Amino acid sequence: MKKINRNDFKVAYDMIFVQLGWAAWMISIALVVYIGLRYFLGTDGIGSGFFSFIENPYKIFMLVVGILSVPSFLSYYVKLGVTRKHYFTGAALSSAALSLIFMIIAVIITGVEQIIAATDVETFLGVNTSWMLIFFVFSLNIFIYYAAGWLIGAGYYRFGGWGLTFSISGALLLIFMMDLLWSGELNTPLHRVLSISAPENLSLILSFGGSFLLGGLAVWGIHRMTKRVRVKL
Amino acid sequence: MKKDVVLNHVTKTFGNVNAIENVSLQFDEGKIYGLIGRNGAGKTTLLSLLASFSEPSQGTIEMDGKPLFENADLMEQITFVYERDYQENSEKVKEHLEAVEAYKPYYDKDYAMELIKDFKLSLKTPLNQLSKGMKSVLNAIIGLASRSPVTIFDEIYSGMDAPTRELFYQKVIEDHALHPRTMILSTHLVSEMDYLFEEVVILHKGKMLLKEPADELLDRGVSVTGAAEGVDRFIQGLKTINTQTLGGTKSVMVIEQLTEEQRRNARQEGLEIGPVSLQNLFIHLTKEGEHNEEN
Repeated sequence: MKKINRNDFKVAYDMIFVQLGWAAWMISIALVVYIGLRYFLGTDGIGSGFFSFIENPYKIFMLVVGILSVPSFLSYYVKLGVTRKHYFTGAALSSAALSLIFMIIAVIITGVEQIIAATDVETFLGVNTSWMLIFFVFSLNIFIYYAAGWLIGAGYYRFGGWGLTFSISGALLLIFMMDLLWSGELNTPLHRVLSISAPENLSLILSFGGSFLLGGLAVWGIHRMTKRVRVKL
Repeated sequence: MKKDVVLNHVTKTFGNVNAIENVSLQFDEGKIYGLIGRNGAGKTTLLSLLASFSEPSQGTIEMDGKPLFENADLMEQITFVYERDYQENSEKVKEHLEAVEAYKPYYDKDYAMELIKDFKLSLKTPLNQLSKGMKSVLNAIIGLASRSPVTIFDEIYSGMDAPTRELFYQKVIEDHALHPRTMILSTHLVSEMDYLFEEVVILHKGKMLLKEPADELLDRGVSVTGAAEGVDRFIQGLKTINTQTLGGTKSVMVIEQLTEEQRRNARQEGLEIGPVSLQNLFIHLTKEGEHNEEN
């Protein structure tokens, strides 16, 4: 008889494991490079701990995996008889989960690093920021890179070359706006405006609010583009 | 659930070209259909619409009275296999079949293993390293073992050698008898597959030429064989196609139903009346389609 079926959860589960498999390579290589750098250059040479070091590899990884999402996973699942909607939900859930899992991995490795050879962990959010906040802000930032890649892949798959022009612009704008909202330099125009007129925690709310709005907008755009998209043979 | 698939005035346009034009037809639950058409007739476009790879530009496709496209309950009932190169897929055969199993509600793992043994497919080979023949075999196994209420094979047999094709046809017949379901087999290898089909749909230039039970279709014509002179006399005034002569013997396909009297006359002339092949009918009908359009 018919099996119990929630294809969107199945897709999410499958995608998390496939992508974690790829990520295992990336994280291992980043770790080896980091250990090498720390060994040869010392803590002064590379700055502020594994946690900050892994941020960019995570972002690049998410961008690339995001670009592959529609051409590779959507096509794969629709060919197995899964609806575009279930793929979409599954992919969104898996990328959100992946963002959190990545940060958990970073926290664990950083914890081990602190036990073996303590270093000052400094992120763009400052030295004295709560770990909870760092955790969620980093996860959100990584997720946004996935969304940017996802947008590019979806735009290309749906509209071809012209789609790429627009979706890359959209993705760049998304990443640029995120940088603006979360910039560590605190001297970007937006931050200056915010810090003059608002107390610090209000700017945090704005940063979170702005990020969710931008991320939501990007994900909505991806959903619109892929909702009825033709799957190539 | 009523598992007939109903197409209502379906048109699919790419750019300015109608790949499929105003096709209305019904695939009844449980039958084996042959979908025949020349290259570019729109077979794959039609089948990929059934598999929800894309939406019709106009018209509707329904199953159980509901639109098929993006309907989760209906999409999982349909399996569409076609010649794929799997270039981007480095999964091993075993892993890929596990994925198929996870998303196909009627998949039969034991049957899949039996087929893998019979077709001698290696479970450990990555998909992108399979030979052309083995990719076809994998597609055949996915199609058969998924046991989907609507199973579509789109020319997957062209990569197989003749003995493998024979084995596949045999499996289709056996498994369809045990687990009746709608099967649509598109092909241009008409002559070796015609015995599989209960009904035949012929597409030509994006339009549906006909949909008929195979036996009725074959009744449309006969072959007349005998001494050349006798044959020539007999076929006067009849619509003929495909004449073959060998020495003094002539064989002519007649596309008309003969009356009892005509059959008696033929016997008296010493002529042999035989069935016409689907292949010949197909060639004739698609030529005629061309002719009609030119006029």
